[in-house]
Amino acid sequence: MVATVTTKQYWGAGPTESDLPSDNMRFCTADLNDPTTTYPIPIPGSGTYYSYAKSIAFYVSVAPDTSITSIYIYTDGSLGWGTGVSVKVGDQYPTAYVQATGTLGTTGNEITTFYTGVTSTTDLFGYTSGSPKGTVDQIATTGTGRYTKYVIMQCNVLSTASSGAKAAETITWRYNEV
Amino acid sequence: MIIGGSKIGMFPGIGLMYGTETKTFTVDVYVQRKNVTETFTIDTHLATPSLTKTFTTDVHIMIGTYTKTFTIDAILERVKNFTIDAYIVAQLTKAFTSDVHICTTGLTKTFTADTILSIQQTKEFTLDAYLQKTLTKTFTSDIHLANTLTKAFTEDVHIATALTKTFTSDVHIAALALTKAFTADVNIANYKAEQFTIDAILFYKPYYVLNSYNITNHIYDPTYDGLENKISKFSIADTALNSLKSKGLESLSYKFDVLYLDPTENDTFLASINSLVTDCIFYPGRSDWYHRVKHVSVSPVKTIQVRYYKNRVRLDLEDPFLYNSAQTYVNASIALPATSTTTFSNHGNADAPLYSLAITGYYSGDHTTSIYYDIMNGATAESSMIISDRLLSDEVATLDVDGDLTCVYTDDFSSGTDFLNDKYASSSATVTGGNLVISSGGYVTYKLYGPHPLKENIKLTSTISYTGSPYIQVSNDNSSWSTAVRTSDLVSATSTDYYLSGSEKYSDVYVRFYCPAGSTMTIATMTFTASRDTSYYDLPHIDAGASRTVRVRGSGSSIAGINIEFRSRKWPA
Repeated sequence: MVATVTTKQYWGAGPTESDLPSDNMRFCTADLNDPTTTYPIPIPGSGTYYSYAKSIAFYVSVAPDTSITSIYIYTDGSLGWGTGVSVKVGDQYPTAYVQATGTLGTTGNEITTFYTGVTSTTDLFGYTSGSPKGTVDQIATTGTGRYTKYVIMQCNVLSTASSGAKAAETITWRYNEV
Repeated sequence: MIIGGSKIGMFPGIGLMYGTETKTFTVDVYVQRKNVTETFTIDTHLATPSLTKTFTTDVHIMIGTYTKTFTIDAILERVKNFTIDAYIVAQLTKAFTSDVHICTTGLTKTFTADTILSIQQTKEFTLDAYLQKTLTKTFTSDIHLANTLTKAFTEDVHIATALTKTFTSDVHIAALALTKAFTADVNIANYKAEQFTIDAILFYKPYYVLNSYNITNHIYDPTYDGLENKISKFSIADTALNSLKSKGLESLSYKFDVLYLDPTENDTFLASINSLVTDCIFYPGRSDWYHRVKHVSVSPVKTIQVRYYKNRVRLDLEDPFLYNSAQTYVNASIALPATSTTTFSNHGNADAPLYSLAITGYYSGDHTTSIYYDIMNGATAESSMIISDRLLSDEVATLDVDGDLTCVYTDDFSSGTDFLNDKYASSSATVTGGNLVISSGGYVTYKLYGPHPLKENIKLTSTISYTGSPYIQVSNDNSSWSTAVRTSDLVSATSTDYYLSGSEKYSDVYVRFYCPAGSTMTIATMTFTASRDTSYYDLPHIDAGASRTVRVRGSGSSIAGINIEFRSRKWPA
């Protein structure tokens, strides 16, 4: 049978494992799975404000016949959110989850300052189908459940950003299913 | 030696030559032209001249039909020699044990291990190669190359399109339909993909903007005022008790000072604020929530020469709520009932009706009639409200967040279709040359439908040219008419707003363009704007924190255009 795969988001102290609401992950200034329009990210007068970090993973709810391997993640290479906004992804895949922290409603803490196991970040939209990020470290290749270690993302906002609801950008997992 | 004419079989043990012959035979040799009927044990029979070969055992060389059975022989009908039976012929009926069969027609023989080269093949192979196209690869197991495959394979490779890959296990790659079920295969697919999206909402803070005028860096001491209970008190004599009667809440107002150092900037600000002619919006501190402002007043507070200019601004709000960004659903034409594909979410802390709902009627054999909308919680309608009993062609009914329902109907008479479909009654009237022309003694009546009563007189915006003394009438029963626009109030050939007096408070209203004898009207454009009262209705709303869809129902043509805008709302904080 063809596997059913999803993206899971991990939040809260537990963490709580949740599906992305409508397959969309909204960066915000709170540790929430579905912030709706609450806790948007303020544009700073100077410096950088961060969203709260997002911990996600590749998740399989219906097992593949044999296995899923070679998991990559990438974008279309173009973030259409205007100047002063970027999305960073941790270069490392931490084994252990760490709850996102920050100042509620104002800014999150930068990933590398609190997320054990993540020491550097890269622009997520630098990864494309021709040059994806990965392979993502896996904790499973068969069965159901979480298949990868955590992938950590964060939205960075500079004073030059413009306000408003930013259009959804597509992120793609690529994987080999047998 | 006897030459020719000898009697057959009469000279045993004697060598005979017919034509040139150099060989010496030690056993029977029989040479003649005619058919041979004799059975030889060890003979040589030369039926043609010019024989140069040496034979050690029986050789029969002839051109004619030969019926003899050989045990170990060579039959030469051509020129080739064989050491093991080889049969090359246009059609084969012989059975081979280990042979090569090359032919162009049908084969009926079953082979154990052969190679069959043919154009047409109906046989099933156990371990063969069957080539219908050019093959350059070497296979160790069955391979069938064909454009169309009907055979079932147990362990094969079926290649219906060009293949460059090398497989070690069964693979089925085909563009054509496959009917075979494989029990042990490998499905080698390209990488699969799973996608999700990310987004974010960014906002400015602090952010003070009145309409589009940004005063963030000039505002001081912003404060709210209002929302207190308005209570009338009646003291009860000789007791400590009072009778209190609520008169509602004070309206909310927002006050702040605006300071400028530059007098030019100050003048620009004052000019901007004082030129506001409509309701406006105000962002009180952040760019994602705003107030709807009814009135704005600005008064100079202090002017200290050279230092700064100070203005006190007061904003009066009819409703105290803050509103968020728009969530929309638009469908220009859809069969009813129709449910929005957008789920509207109220992220605020106050219940919120739709910010606006616009429904456009369409004529398709009938008008759109009995139009309702519902707030849907799944398949359950939580609340409903009627919009109109009937909308004329392209008439738009718009309900706003305050419950104001405005119905607008327009006809520019670019064709006569809408006139024919939408008029209630007419006489001596026709659409021609882009105008509605009403002749002497004629009339045209339109009916504008409720059920919601008119809050004010219908506004008619129209360009009317006339002769004589035509006038416009209104009625609520199509029987008793009152004059709404007198002849003297008509402005000929000029687009003019006419307020049809006497139509206020009615639900269904008839409007009649009337031309008594000797009068004519030529109407170039015509727009009815009817503001209707829904205040007696509890507007359907989406609860704070809830997510709902909206359904629109209707009858008649059962077609409508739908345009919904919803905004979360919350109390000021």
